[in-house]
Amino acid sequence: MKKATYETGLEGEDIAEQYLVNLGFRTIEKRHREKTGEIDLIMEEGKTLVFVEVKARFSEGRAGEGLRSVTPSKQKKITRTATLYLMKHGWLRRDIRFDVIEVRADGVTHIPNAFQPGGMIF
Amino acid sequence: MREMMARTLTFGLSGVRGFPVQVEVFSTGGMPGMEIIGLPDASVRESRERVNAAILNSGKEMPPRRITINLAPADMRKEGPSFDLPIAVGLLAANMQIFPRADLDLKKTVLFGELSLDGQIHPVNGALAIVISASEQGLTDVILPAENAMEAACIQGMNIFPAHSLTEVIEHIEGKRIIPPQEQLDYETLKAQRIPSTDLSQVKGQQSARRALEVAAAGGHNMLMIGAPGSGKTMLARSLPGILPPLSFSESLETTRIFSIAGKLTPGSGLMVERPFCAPHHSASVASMVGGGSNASPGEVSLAHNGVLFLDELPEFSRAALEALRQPLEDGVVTVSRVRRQAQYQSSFMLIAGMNPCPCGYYGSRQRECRCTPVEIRRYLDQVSGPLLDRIDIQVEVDTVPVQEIRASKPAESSAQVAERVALARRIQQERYRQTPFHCNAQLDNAGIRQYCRLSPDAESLLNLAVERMNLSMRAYHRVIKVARTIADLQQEEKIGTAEIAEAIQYRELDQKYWRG
Repeated sequence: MKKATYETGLEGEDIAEQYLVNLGFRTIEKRHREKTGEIDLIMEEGKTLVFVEVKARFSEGRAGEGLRSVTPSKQKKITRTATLYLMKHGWLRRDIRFDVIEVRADGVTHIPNAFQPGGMIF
Repeated sequence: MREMMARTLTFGLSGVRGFPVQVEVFSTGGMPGMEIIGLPDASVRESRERVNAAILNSGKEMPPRRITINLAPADMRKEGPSFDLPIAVGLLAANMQIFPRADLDLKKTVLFGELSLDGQIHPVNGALAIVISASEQGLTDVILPAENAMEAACIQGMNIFPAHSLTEVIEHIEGKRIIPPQEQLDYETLKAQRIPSTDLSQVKGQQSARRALEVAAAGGHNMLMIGAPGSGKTMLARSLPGILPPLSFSESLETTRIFSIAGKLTPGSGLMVERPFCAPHHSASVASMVGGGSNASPGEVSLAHNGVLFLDELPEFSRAALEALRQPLEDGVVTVSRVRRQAQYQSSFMLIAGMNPCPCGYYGSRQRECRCTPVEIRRYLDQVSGPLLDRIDIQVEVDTVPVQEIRASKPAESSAQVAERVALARRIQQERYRQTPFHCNAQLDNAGIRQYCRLSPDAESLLNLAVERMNLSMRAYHRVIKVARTIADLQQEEKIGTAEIAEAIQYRELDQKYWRG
């Protein structure tokens, strides 16, 4: 039977987290929610705060399909959420980064610094 | 989390002048991204992507940090891709990716060049203008694209470092491997290598036209050739640069600078030695003639600075384009004004014009009968206005040389032989006008004519007679004297006699024949 989309997501996030922890990342928070949306994983690598978007694709599509689905409008949404998070902690000058991870049945693709928000975002 | 700041130095262009631009790079933590401010145009803003790729392809990192790049002064417009290199170096320095060696001050080293995605450095327009301006500012060290190095090689007292890639620049700045500086070139050796493109020996017959061309060259006079199609007007005009003296060093700097800005310089070539020869097609617009476009770029009159502007089929040019020539002809400079920009370009050129005597081309020809009506001829000739005609000192008829005559003729004099006489006449003028703003006879004003053009009493009365008979204007009167001065200089005579005046008057006769007949 086909798994529910939500469950696929949760499973993907766990695999991604484990993968990053093995690389030496430290987990700060999972599924952080703001009114603008959700951030799958907030991790720390050294002193850099890393916001991770996880795309789980166990059954359909070819490799890279999940990565491509992080469109500019989705990037903007993630950026806004991250900004709200940073503001809450008073961390506006911290080094931060946005990563994307694709989790498939045959493996994991990690793109560090997958996108840069550019100029002003609000 | 540390905040870092780096500065590099480059130049922007405004007309033929370069102005120093500080590239300030500020790197801080926070939302990653890169912003370029300080009035960059689209090509400068795109440099972000080129620089990014070039840095990664040079084995360096681009850490995800919040980066602000400011191009100061912020009120001057910055155009073109030459800012890539200083931006890239500034970024590397601000992100602690390079550490300049102790004896190299990034704030005093001029950097410019376009980057390709793989980190190669491409040549840019206006390199010579930048290096001249840098030298005027007392700066000595310049890192530039290798293909632009020859342009700058003749400027005294500069250390020119030609770079092929960003990696080379990084190693140079860090002192790991110094780029061998460009050898300084002596302008005189460049001059010795010149070869005239069209030689006068190829022009058969045409004794009177050849003579007129020599006089025009000797005094810098404007010239109009009227003749049937195929009579050799174009050949004559094209051989003019070859009989003019080569550009002096300062003239070459002026002319090459304009070519460099217009992007008309052959890549890898150095200073121009031969005088420019510009032959715009008769469909040319006013803007292409005197300069224009959104960035006020130089037009044909400025590209022909210190050289020859050849207008073939003069009456076919639009009236507006021809009338626009009057100011540069008179003043030797044009000011191009656009909404966002104003630029002044030098435009001191010899105007050489060619035209047919009538629409069919054979009016007055020995070869064929003309089939134009008087009204048609009138209308055709009237395309050339009186004021423009008045500014042309020498007018000659060029008739077709019969084929038999060409076969029979002995080899004509070569450009080199004529050039020698022209050079001598020019030297006499240089000597005479040493304390004045003039360079050649054609530039004399009325006071100059009174001072330097002494006529013998016989010559004086001959000229007065001609003025009466031919109904010459005051301007035409002065121009006849100037041409006579040149003819005397060719003869190395101090005084102007009847023979010189007679020949000079003869170059005015067509005016009568065609336009007032």
